[in-house]
Amino acid sequence: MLQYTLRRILVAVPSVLGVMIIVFAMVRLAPGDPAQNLAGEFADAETIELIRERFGLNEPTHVQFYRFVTGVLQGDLGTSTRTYRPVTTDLATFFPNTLELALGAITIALLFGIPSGILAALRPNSAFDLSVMIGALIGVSMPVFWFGLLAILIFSVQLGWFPVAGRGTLMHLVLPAITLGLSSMAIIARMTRSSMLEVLNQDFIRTARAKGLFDRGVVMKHALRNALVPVVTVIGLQFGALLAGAVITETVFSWPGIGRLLVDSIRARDYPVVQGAVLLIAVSFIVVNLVVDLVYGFIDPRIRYD
Amino acid sequence: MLRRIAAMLLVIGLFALAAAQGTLIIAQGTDPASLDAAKATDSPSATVYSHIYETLYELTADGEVVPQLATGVTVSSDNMTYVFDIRQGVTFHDGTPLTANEVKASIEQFLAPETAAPFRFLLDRIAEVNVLDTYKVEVKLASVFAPLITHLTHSSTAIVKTGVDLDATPIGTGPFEFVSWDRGQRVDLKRYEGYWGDKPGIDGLRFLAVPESTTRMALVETGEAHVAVRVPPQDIARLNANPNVTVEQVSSVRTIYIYFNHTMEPFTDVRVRQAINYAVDKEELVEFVLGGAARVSDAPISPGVFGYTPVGSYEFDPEKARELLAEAGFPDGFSTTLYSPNGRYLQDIQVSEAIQSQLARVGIDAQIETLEWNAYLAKTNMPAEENEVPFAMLGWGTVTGDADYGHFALFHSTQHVPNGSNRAFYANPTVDALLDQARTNTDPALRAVLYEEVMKLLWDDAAWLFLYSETQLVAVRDGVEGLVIHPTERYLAFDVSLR
Amino acid sequence: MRNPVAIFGMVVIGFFLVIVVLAPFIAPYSPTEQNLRATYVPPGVGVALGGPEGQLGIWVHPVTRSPTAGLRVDDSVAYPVRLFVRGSEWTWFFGLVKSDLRLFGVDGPVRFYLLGTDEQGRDLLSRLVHGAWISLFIGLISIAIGIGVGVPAGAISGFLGGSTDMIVQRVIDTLLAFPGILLAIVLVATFGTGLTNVMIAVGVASVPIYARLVRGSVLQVKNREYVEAAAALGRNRLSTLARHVIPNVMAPIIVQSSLQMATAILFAAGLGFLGLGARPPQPEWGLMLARGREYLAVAPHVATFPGIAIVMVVLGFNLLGDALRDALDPRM
Repeated sequence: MLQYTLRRILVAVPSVLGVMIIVFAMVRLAPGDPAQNLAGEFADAETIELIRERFGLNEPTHVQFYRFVTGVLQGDLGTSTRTYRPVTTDLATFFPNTLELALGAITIALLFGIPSGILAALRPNSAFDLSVMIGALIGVSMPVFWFGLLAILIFSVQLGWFPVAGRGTLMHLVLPAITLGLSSMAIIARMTRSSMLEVLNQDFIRTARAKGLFDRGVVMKHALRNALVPVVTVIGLQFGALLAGAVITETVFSWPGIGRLLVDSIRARDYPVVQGAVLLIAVSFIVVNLVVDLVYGFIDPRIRYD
Repeated sequence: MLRRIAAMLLVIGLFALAAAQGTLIIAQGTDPASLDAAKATDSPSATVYSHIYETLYELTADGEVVPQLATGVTVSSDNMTYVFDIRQGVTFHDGTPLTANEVKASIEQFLAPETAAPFRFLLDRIAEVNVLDTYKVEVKLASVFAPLITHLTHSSTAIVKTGVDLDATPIGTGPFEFVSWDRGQRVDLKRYEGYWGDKPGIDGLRFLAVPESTTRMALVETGEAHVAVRVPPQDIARLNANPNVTVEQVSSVRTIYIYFNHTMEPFTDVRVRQAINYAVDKEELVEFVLGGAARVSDAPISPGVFGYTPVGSYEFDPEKARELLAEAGFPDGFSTTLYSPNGRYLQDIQVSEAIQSQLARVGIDAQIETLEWNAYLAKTNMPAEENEVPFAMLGWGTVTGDADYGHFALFHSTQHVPNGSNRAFYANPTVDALLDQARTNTDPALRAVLYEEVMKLLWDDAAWLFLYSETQLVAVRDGVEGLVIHPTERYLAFDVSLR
Repeated sequence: MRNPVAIFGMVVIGFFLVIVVLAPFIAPYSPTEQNLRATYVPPGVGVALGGPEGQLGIWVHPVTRSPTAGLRVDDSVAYPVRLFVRGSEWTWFFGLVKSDLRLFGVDGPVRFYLLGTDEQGRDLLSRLVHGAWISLFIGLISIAIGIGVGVPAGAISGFLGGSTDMIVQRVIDTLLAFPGILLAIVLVATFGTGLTNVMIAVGVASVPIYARLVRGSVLQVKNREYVEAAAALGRNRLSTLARHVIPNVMAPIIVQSSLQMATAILFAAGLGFLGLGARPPQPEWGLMLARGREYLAVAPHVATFPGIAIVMVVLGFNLLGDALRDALDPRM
């Protein structure tokens, strides 16, 4: 187990390096630069030159890359060219907020997704099943920002149930978490339903049923345990997607998260912050997937790590 | 565990509510980039730090320059040396008194190359700063520079406490002192009890960062914020219909225009440029696209800026436009590309699309190209020989309130991009000479005459497609009195009282 | 295929394809023609059932909006709506078809806005109808990119195994861990806004999915006895594999592609929201929804119709994908 974990981490190193190279190259390929952004549309050449010097943007690209990599190894991600703050400070401020939002979203997705999936599977093709499946499909088919804005206009402005935007109390979290969690909820419901159906159709359960040994509690326990294996994978993948994909929800609800930081920084060509944020997102994606794999083995001991 | 987190969050929320009493809440479009005056160029930053720091001179909302931290000035006969009297009895938020030493240190920090202040050019004519006595500062110039005093009103030249990290702990002499900044969310300020002037009537100020305009308007509708900036024009009537909300309209010094690339055919021909000015119905744009929230330009700069005089108008006349095009050799029009920002200025892309359809009526087929803002700047900033942009929308805010700022960098032939901001590659020796003269002459009456002449030349030459100056639309909840909506796109709460 | 839900999906997609093919005939007006005097007119305003003298049919009054006077309907005149009218000329299929026949139009100098107008006073129905092919195109091209890159990568990786497999897998991991939004923004910054970038970004994001599908399938087949047996008999291993892998992997690819259509359309809408999508005034649905959101509180119809169109088509492709999965590969 430990060996497996270590190997997985080792295998992730080239991916992280790949992400670092791509992000470093890509932000620099885009036209515009941090100095131009900071100085504004009406800056003179002299000012832009001064700013470039201030942030070491005049140095050759390979020197900048070397400094980036050695910096990362020492836990130093550089200074934001937009706010003049250390990148690590910015990430430490914004990342927990996104984590909070993503956790809220996944909680809501699980809370509604798993039970409705199970219930739908127990009565396949019933009216309940059909409405869960159609609801889930509409859930994955709706543009996130449209849903979010409609939710604000209906539940905050018209009904006054929730605050409009911002971060703070649990009430602030409800609408953004539902908005972000909607598609995950739908996917989890569908996944739970189909894997539950599959397990219920398996021989041992059929046999148990045929022999009249249909103890609901015991069978349900077995079925659930087996049905949840693929669900856990989906949750892992969804959680990763939530971290990176939160940008739209964060913009709609003014949620100070890493997605918004990333998009704002790309727009401002804030190279250090873009590099740092993408690195952080990539690493957490890899970590989440590793954790999912380990949990996977915990639920289903038949899976071996070799 | 979860329950504990929930309880914690609830307590934080209640605390936030309690703290909000007597606090004015302003919802802005973005979080400040920095609270160090020298380092930020965006107006959300300037709005916040204008409450913390003060400048030597102040530009009032009526466009008057009045003393603030300076009480008077003596100018030498050669206009090369200025001696400022510094206000006595002023203290910084950390309790230390303001003296000539602090002023010298602040100006020098602003000018230091390590600071790399984006607005450094405002004061870069200053050669040295000397302390004459406790409350006297001498400023020596490298060359005569008439707009110096107006440039000292610019919020980024504010007098700050030096030697501290202003971004983490901004310390100034203003009526509010810094409390906290939750990045990406809110900045909290409170009244500074040791302020030298009239103390504010509210306990504190909170600035929220809310990028999505529907969300921002919803905040002021539900009362979660008192003020929401940048109201979309289509929401004016709806918000005004709300008994608790009023939309204030205050003109801005930001002029929106579309420049021609004067090195590129067919815009080298003055008849083509004039034809386009006649072909675009500015009144229609202002009324129907901007909901009346703009003022059709009658000069390259806006009213409220020193040197402004109305110099003309291009009445909408498609017939005349067609005639001029035919004279210039384009009886059937031509094809070009209109570059437009998207979301930078009020309704910018909507206006560009409307212009596209208006130009189509005189036979000009303009494809719209929108780039993301930074790429847009980079592309329009190329030197003439590499520049591919024929025709592009921009906005210029004459934030110093002096016509020099609104003309020199935009029209002087030494200021072609990437050196300056003359993206149109406009070059006219007469205009150059007049601008040089106006810059080095300190007689306001003569300067006004010179600028009028410059503006007339530019207007008749159709140097740009002149459009309009923006109006700031701000939604304010009833019960908020005394909010100043400054033409430089700052919202000042010094005199606010809450009912 | 007797599943009613699947049939519903097929009907939606069929309807969508009919619209794509007949767009200029169905749309009464040009999708880019503006009327600043009639911005965001809600559907039904100025429309009457029955003429002024009791005639049958739909009749239309002139409608204008000004910021000061608001929405005004001129009741003094009315014109009838007729089917199969001659309107302004249109061309379709890259100039191959030319006509001026329209499904319906007004017999008179006013416009009939069945679904109302947008913020520039353009006919929403015409825009929606003309935008249909754009959505289809975004989906198809991005799938082509995904398959074109993902399938060979997955096949090579699975077939060769060893260090090649290792390298390809790491590249795919990198792609998975890399936020697609960054790619989209960089493309847009470099080449300007436009559909090409949207398609590339969505396509690249789907590469790992196809690669994994194919690789898994190759690995599955590679070690089966019949392949080994064929190899032992001296047959070309590669061609044997191809013969067995291709039918095996076709089903999941088709299913995945149907779902990918849905994802691509949604992704394009999200990019439109961030200002990185199609180029105005193109009637791309995501862009229309994104622009319409600024009018949600005053004129909800501007966003609602493109929103419904997106949901319906995405739903259709999702249902189609499900149905295909059930039909082609019951194991999935």
